[in-house]
Amino acid sequence: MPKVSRALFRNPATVLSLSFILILLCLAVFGPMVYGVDPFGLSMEVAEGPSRLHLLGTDDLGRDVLAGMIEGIKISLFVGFSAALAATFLGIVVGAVAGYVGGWFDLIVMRIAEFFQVMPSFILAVLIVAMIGPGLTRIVLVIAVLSWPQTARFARAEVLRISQFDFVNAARCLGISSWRILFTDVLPNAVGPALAVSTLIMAQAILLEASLSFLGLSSPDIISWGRMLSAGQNYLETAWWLSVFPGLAILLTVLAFNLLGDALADIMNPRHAN
Amino acid sequence: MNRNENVLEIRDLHLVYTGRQRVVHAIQDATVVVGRGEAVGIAGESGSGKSSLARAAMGLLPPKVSAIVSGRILVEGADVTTYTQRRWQSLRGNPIAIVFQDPLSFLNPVVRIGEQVAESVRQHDPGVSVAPRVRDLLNMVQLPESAAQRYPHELSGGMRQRVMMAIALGCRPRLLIADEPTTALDVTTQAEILKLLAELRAELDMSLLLISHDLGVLRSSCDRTYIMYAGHTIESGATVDVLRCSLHPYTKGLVDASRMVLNAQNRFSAIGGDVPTLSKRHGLCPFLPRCACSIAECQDRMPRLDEQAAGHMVRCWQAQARHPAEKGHGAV
Amino acid sequence: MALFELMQISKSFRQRGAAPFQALADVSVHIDAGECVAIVGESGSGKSTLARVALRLLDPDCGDVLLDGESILGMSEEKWNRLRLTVQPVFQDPSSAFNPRRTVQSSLEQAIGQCVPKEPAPRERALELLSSVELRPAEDFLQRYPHQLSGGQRQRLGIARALATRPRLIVADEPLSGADVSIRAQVLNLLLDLRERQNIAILMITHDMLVARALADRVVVMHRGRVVEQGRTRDIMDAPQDPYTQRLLNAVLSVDADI
Repeated sequence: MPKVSRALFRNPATVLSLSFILILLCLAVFGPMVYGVDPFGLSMEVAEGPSRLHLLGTDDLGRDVLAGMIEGIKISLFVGFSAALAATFLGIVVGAVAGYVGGWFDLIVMRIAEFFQVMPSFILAVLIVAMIGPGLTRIVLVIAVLSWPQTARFARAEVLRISQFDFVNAARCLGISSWRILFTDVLPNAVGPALAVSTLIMAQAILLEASLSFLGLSSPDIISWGRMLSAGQNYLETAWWLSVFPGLAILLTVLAFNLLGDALADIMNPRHAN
Repeated sequence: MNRNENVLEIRDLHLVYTGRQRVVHAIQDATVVVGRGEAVGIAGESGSGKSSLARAAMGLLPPKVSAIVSGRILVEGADVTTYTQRRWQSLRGNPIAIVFQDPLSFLNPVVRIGEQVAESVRQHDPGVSVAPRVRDLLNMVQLPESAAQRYPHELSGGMRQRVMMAIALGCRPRLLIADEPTTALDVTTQAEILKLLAELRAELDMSLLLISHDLGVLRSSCDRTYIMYAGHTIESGATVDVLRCSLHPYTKGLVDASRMVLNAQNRFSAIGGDVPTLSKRHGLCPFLPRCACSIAECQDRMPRLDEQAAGHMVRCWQAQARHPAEKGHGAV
Repeated sequence: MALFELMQISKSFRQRGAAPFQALADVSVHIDAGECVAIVGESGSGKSTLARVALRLLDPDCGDVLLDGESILGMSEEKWNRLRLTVQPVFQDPSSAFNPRRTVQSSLEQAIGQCVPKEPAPRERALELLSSVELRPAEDFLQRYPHQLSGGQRQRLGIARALATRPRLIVADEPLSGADVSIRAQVLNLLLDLRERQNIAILMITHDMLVARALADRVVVMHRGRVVEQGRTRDIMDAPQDPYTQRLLNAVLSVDADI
């Protein structure tokens, strides 16, 4: 781990991304206390630009944009983390077992994974959410189901590679059961690239949630950046702050996670090790 | 150009690799000379610096992380120590060409063999008609003409090594550096490749600098041999002298270990201990911690390379004390 | 009765878009207790495949493998998992022979932990094993990771691990390749010690005739999946019968002008 952090901090883009994410977290936790405005609260200042009272302006119902965005951080990060966590866990388990066991299980799993990768995930997500209805947990599940093939691929490839190493053969010659070898010797060495991909999945999840919210497929009682963008559509010329700020937030957050994911992927790449 | 001029001279070379947090003194004091038409060998184990030496002679050291601290490299009399990559390009291939241990890493996997040899010809023999020359080269390395249509992965290890040699010869080199050319090959293939090298040398009046950890290979192919240890050349001379009448305790240990013959205790003679670290420059003989015959002077200063018998140099106080011979540095 | 016997082993591998590749054809080798047998061959001879069959990392298409006269191919899995501790491997490439995330102690204890009856003091046994392969001071090595050891040290550690379960046969797959000459002698001496002091049999796979001559009681020469010649080392070296063996011997370049 220390080697990874050192390598991470060397890259200026990564340091920026990490700092940005840290700022987001701080805002999510301390924001409501510091900027005491109620995000759901209607006020008299309707559709007003950034002012001293409302730092980033208000929307057509008088709700503060900045407060709404701080609220939106929670949604985005929640969706991002949980979807990535679920996808990574599922993907690593399925991919690792497929790579280790091989045979028909591997065949079936890989065909399923290919199906999900070939399908345009956005359209699939829209269809599914339209069918099962909105809701934060449902969206997280949908994204996880659409994303696990990515981690599964990496996990499987690494497990296949590591299984050829002689230390695995040595363990087999000691009569240690295959499953024990998988969990104690192979997996710890194989999860690197898969974990790196999980940050990219976070970025994808945030974007996907924003897109679904934009299309109105999220529950109306939560404030998310996508929904704010959607609401701001009609006011592009008159109240630009309703679109620009949430849009920027989405852009920067997704960018930050993508950069972080790229850097991690480079570091975790086994060929990079030398 | 003087016919008697040495085709390669490396004198008192000190080379370091600089990493983020550490420095490796890969070569600390090495002197190697290859004359016209000679076959010279460099023997050493891992960490001896022999591969770095080969790369230094071709300007193939990674520019940002390596630095020549002192010493000189002369190619046909010209001092190339401070050459930039651009100037090196004019030297590579001709007069010096190189073949490596693993041809698979150096051959382009998606280009047919014939085309890769042709590329070398076009680069170094611009006027000549390419196809016949490629045929000649493949012939010279005893590859069938049909090989030209193949891809590298379709050939055996020995054939790929021949292709490397054909590409190197396409440049009409006056010196061929071979860095562990047969290490990855079967022993029967190795014998063929070494025989081919000897034939080519004779036919083309080409010098050879052969680098190997295998003393048997050097014994069979080289007139003179240098022994390297921890970045220093510690012994050199006619191969027969160096291997049969070794002066340096490390050379003796290496030769004994290579023989794999049991000694009186029914064990193989091994050199105890491990190779020293290269993270700092050695002030004393690098072999001292492992040496069984050190004398008082060894604890004081680093031994100098001195000539003990005609052409036989050694860097060892103990050897020089036992055989006080002609003083002064020899020419080679 | 031979300690270990490979009888008429054949093994072929399927290849996509080509005829199956016959790695081994009717190979028979036996090893007596305390003996050292060298399997000598070049690339493609099948010697590494044979080693994997001997360790049961691979099952042959036909033929049998006998340990103390009993067929291991027909054995129940739990019986084999116990018995296989008596046949342990030493691998060629020390860099992949150890889990990079396990310390030396952890790797050794993984092997020690498989012993039956259970070893009461695994750490002490690990120290004992390290000393026996001249990795001293042993305490210093316990907490190191494989990448912190030199190639020669890793190779010796490989032998230490192989000894953990007190085997009667060690299958060494090219244990000296890639090792510097000065390390080879150390490892060879270790193997000689094992034979003399602990009467451990060694099945050594090598491409190097000199190594075979140095260590083996008997030599088995393989070429393209078949045994072309086998016999006492002295006989094979002095009077090889098969033309391939002769070619192999002639090609050997030793540091002296003649072997």
